[in-house]
Amino acid sequence: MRKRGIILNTAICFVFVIVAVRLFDIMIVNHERLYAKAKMQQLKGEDIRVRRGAIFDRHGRELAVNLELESLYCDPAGMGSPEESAEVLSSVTGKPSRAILTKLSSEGHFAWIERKLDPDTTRKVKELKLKGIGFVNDSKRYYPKGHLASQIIGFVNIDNKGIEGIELKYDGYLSSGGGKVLFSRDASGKTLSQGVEMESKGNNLVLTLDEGLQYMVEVELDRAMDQWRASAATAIMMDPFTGEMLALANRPSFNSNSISGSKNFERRNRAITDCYEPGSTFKIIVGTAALEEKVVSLDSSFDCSKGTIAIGKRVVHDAHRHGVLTFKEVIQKSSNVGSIMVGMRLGKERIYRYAKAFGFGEKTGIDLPGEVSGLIRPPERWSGVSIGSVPIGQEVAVTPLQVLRAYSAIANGGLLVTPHVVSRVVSPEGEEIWRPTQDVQRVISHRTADTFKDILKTVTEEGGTAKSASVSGNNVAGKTGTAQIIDPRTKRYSTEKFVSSFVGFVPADNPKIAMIVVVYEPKGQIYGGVVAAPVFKRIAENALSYLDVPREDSQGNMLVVAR
Amino acid sequence: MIKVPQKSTASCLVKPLFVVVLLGGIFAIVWLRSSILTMEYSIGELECKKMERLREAKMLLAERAMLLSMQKMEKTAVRSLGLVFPDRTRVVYVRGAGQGPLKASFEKSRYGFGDHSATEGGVSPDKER
Repeated sequence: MRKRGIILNTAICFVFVIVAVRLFDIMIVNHERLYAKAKMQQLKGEDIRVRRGAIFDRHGRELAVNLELESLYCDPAGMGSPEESAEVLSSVTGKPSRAILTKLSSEGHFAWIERKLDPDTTRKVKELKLKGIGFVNDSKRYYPKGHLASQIIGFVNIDNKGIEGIELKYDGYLSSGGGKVLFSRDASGKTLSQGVEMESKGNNLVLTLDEGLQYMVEVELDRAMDQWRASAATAIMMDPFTGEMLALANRPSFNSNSISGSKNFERRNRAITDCYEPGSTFKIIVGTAALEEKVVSLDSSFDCSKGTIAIGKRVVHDAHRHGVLTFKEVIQKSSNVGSIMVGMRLGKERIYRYAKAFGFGEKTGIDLPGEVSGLIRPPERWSGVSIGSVPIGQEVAVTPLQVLRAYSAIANGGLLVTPHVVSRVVSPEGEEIWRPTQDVQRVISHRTADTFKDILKTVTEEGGTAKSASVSGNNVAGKTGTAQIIDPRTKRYSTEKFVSSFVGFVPADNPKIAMIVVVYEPKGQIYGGVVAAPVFKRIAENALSYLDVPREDSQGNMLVVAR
Repeated sequence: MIKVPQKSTASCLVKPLFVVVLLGGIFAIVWLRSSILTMEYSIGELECKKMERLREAKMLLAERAMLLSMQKMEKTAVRSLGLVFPDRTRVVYVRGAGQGPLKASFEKSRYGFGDHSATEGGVSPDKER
């Protein structure tokens, strides 16, 4: 009996010793290796969902949001029958089975099959319960307004990185840092919550754009493109006092939701990337400079009766022969001859100085990518005929935005503002974290600006070149422009291709909007007063209604009310 | 004669109590750990559901934004409801200040209003300036 007890005790002790040795091996000798192995089995790393901030218009209407979708991947090493799976997946996703098969048969343990599937397809694929395929949460940028303001908002790539427009310029604010979170999982692969926030949100952008105004501008641009069978068109609407862009549109355009179907020229934001010779809209430079420098008065007269002026070997014509014109009439009737005479009185140095002061030849500083500076040559590089060209807007290259900015300076009393599209950056919690600072420079005196504003008002009145830009009930101040395009084949001004424009502000005495309309290569008509001015009128009438700006002629037409 | 010391009741209870406390402690730890695990599973499932709802919410938000776009609204307003964009010549601005409902008068002949102001039969207070 005692012998048995000894054997039993020895056996128990032996087992304990074995267990102790094994435990020593696991916990001390091979601890590091086994700990790492266990972690690998128990923990699963999951990417933090990085979500871009949304983009809103000035009234908080969504212009860019995120959709929560799922991306389909496969583990080629764990696939059952790749051929069969490829066929089934092809019938559900609509992707060629050969392309899917290539991915299912690839090396390694991970390959994307299709990124950002729509919810219906995701559900159908999940129902198939195929071996070796899985889903990862993914977000897709979605632009609910489609074409609207697409060249301003821009777009992102498949990895949600900003590629164009605001999406690119403010990528740093919109996107946020990512990272990984480790989750514990059980033997069946089911994850256990760690109570960690798995979403990292970027900041939201509030733009200065107004969806309503943007829509009006785009509708009218489409109409103008159809009417004049133009090659392109641009319209920009801005608050002349703050530089806030209220609307900016170009045609042709594209839909930000289907980038693959768009072409490069459709994505171009012509308002800031394309230069053109401004023609008569540039006459404000010599006009305001002459008034500011007191080389002319409103009643100074200029003999334009010949209808031509010779500068060296070049002869410049007026569109119509005028008689003797006052300075005011020179601008009102857009006389080339009169403007050149004013320019000659000023001299090339002063013309250049004022052109630079109005921001020509330099970037406006708008917060959009791809802006060009345009071109105005310094006086020492002017040719003998330049004094006959620059005052009437030739030999200079400008962007539509530069022209609008210069006219805004007249509208606001002589201050050059910095145009901008983003009004503020707001954190996901709603705190404002950034706002643009306004940098203004005085270009001309308030008095000169007011005087020139009165002159510009006459342009849209009887006898002016842009009667068709006048708005019922409010005064419009503005200027037409009709510029020839250089033919790249002949290197001379084309006799068929023109750029028609109208730039102005309304109501003239207390401007709410400054706007430029540029129509490239219109067919049938060429003059800014015929092609672009009516577009301005239609947009302005709708915009004033939308902004609730009262008619100036309604003072005696008030409805009397009592309480 | 050997005198066996009398054990007190307290000292008799120490050992069993110790065992009970030890076992109870171990059980509590195991039970707590198991509860935490169960809760983690539940939270994990709820997070999945939350993700689903979030997905739906974002989809609905995008759909709402799309439906409220100016293009859609104009299409609906013009085609379905027969509305037109307000004509500026038919908008009458009312000069007034302060709160309270407004009562529009129809003294057309006395103040020389345009026909439209009388025939419209009044003015919306939100056009007040």
